Order: sequence, then C-alpha cells, then structure tokens
Amino acid sequence: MSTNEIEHLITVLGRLPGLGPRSGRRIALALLRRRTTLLDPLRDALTAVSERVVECPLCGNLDTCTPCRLCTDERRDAGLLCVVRDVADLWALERGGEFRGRYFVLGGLLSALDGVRPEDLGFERLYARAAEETVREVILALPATVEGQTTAHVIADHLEALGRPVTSLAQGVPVGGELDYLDDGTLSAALRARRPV
Amino acid sequence: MNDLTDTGIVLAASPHGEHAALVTLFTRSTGLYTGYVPGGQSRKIRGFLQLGTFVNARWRTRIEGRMGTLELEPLPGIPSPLLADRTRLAGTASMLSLVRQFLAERDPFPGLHDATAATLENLLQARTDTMTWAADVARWECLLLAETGFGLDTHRCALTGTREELAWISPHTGRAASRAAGQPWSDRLLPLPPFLLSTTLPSSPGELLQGFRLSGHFLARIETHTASGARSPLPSARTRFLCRLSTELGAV
Repeated sequence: MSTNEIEHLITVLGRLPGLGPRSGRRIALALLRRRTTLLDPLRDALTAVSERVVECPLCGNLDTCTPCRLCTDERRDAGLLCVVRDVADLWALERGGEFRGRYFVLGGLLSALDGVRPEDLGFERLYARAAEETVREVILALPATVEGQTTAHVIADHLEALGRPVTSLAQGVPVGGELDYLDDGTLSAALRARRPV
Repeated sequence: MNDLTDTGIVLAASPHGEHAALVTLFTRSTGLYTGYVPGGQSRKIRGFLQLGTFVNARWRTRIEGRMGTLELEPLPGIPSPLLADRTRLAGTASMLSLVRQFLAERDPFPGLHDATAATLENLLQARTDTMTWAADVARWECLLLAETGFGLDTHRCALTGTREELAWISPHTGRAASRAAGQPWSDRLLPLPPFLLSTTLPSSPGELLQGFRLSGHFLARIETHTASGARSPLPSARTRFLCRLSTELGAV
C-alpha cells in the first residue's frame, strides 16, 4: 500500500496533460527508483521554474527575466508585431526561425458562445502596443477557425481605424500536402488565395 | 439502447479530457443536443468542428437522459464558413449564438432548424449579395421570435382590422398597426419595414437595419439567464454583426 505522499504525487502527476492515474503511478515509481538521476534534477528544475519564470509584461511570453529576452533582443525588428493566441503558438513560430520581429500573446480567443469578450482578453494593451511609433505592421497569426478569425477581424477593424497595416497568415496547401487529402475548406481558401507562378 | 441519426449544425465544441470533445448541435428532430465525441480533438475531426458546419450525426446512449456519444461526419457540398469575410462570419456567429441562447436543450424546432439551415447556406454562398442574405437573417430573427412564442402579430391592424399598409408595431404588444391608424402614435410605435412581410429586398440599408432594430427590441425582452442566474443580455456577436453590417453597407 502506498503512503499518502506517494498517493499525492501520483494524483498530481495524473493531472498533467496526456497523463492519467496509470501513467502517474508509472512515473512516480520511475522517479522513486532513480532518485539521483531523475527525482532530484526534476525537483530542482521545478523549483527553479516556479521561483524564476514570470510572464513578460510587454508581450505575455514566459521567461526568467522581465521584459523577456524576445522583447529586449536588439537584433529583432521592433517594427513587426506578431499577435498569437498563446505561448504555445509563440514557441511554434520561434521553432520555425523565420520570424524575427516582436510578439504579443492574447491569452485566448473571442467566443460568442462562451461569452469571451474583448475586455476579457486585454485588447487595450495590444492596441496601445500597436499604436507605438516603432510598429510598422501587425501580423495576426491566429488559428484558421471561426473563433480565431472572428478575433482577427475585431482586432483588424480597430487597428485599421488607427491607420496601422494589418496582415494575417496565408491559408492553403501545406508544404508536402497532396490535394487529394485536403478538406474542402482548405482547398477553397487555397483557390481564393492563388497567386501568379 | 437509444440510437438517433440526424443532420445538425455545429453550435459549440469544447475540449474534454485529452482527446475527446463535447459538441453541441442544433439538430432537426431533437433541437439542441450536446454529446461526447471520442477523438474530437484529433486533426481529422477538429477541422470540421467549427461553428456553422453542417454534419451528419449519429447519437447513441444506453440510458435515456444521459449525454450520449456522437459520431459525426461533415456533410459534403455545403460551403464551410467563409473565414475571410468579416460580415458573413459575424452573421453566422450572431445567428448561432441566438439559437444557443434562446432554445432549450432537447426541444425540437424542425421549422426553425430548416430555416436556419437555408439562411446559413444562402449566407455562406460567396455570390449572394449582402442585402439579400442580411434580409434573410432579419426575417429569420422574426421567425425565431415566433417559434419561441414571442412572434409579432402582423396579420392585421390591431386598431382597424385592415390587412393593408401595415407600417407600425407596438413595442409592448408586438401587434401591427396600419400606416394611417398608427400615425397619431408614430413617436411611440416601431416602424415595420415592408421587407419583413414579404420576400422582397429592403429598399435601403436603413430599412434593413430598421428590421434588425425591430427584432432586437423583442429579442431583448425575452428573459434568458446565465448559469449563475443573472439575466443574459443579447449576445455580443449580434452587436458585432450589426456594427459590421452598418459599416459594409455604409449606413453609419
């Protein structure tokens, strides 16, 4: 029979994304069997993250310094502001290595049905950031879903009134994609966005 | 075992656990329905779990009254929401948020379902011009009022009984009045735009927006409540839609 501490560890591990009670038990056992190589480094890493990682007040990214490294990096183009839904999307764009501008993390999307309104998402901070003189273009890198595009349209309406150029990511055939496997919506978006070869 | 097959319109989808989703549909035979979709967060399924998508749904449950499991497949040949068109997307969101707010779960509204499907199909066809589909949406809002028991009485004038030249609606009773009989109270009555009584197009953007003001007045009077018991205002999606529509038609 497990002790309360081990049961608690299993419960907490089981709440992590992709895991359940069974995986929680497996991980707890692995940690307890390899204390020096797994448990202690994991404890140190968790403590460090808990104590040092903060949300950047400028862009909403997570980092150990404030403002974050992306906001203070002089080599990045401060004229390009990319708006993303959450930190996971920011990391996805950074993995690509193509974008060298600055970011703004919205923290969610507008949802008429779930009652998420512009004031719930801190749009005012985004508008203030976009109104800075250094910003030349705002790129809306939001999901190609109804909620993502509704959010993009609301932001675009406001920023266009401010006279800021607003662009969004293209939609269409992915690299390596075969037409036969694409859904109807993606194919029609690709046809609408066709360009000269 | 309860087993139902029907066509539906996706109203909402939210993640449930790691892989599944809870999906709310507006179906023809059973009205609003929420079901558990195994694998609802997979790439294959989540692509079409978007507001306004038309699906074939098979709902199964072993015990009556339980949520049940949904198997969904998108209906071919029906356009997906026009994500790049601001006004059409806002119109879709407005209609479906009104459905979600005003209809009770598992209460069938086959007439309203058919009208919703027809209006959405028309709205999502890129070649339909804005005045045409927006007039359909205004008529659909009046139908929503009628189906929920708050319909406007536009059969005859409440004052004279005539069926000709109906031009006003009482903001209190929802009954129509003819142009001449209602004239002395015109400052207290709501204008009834002629396009709401026929299939003709509104003569101007102003007349179209008058139709939305009329339906909005009566929709706002229906009391609906949030989960916490507070009174729900009209959905913000409707306000955004009317704002977009006014901008597009140059009526601001």
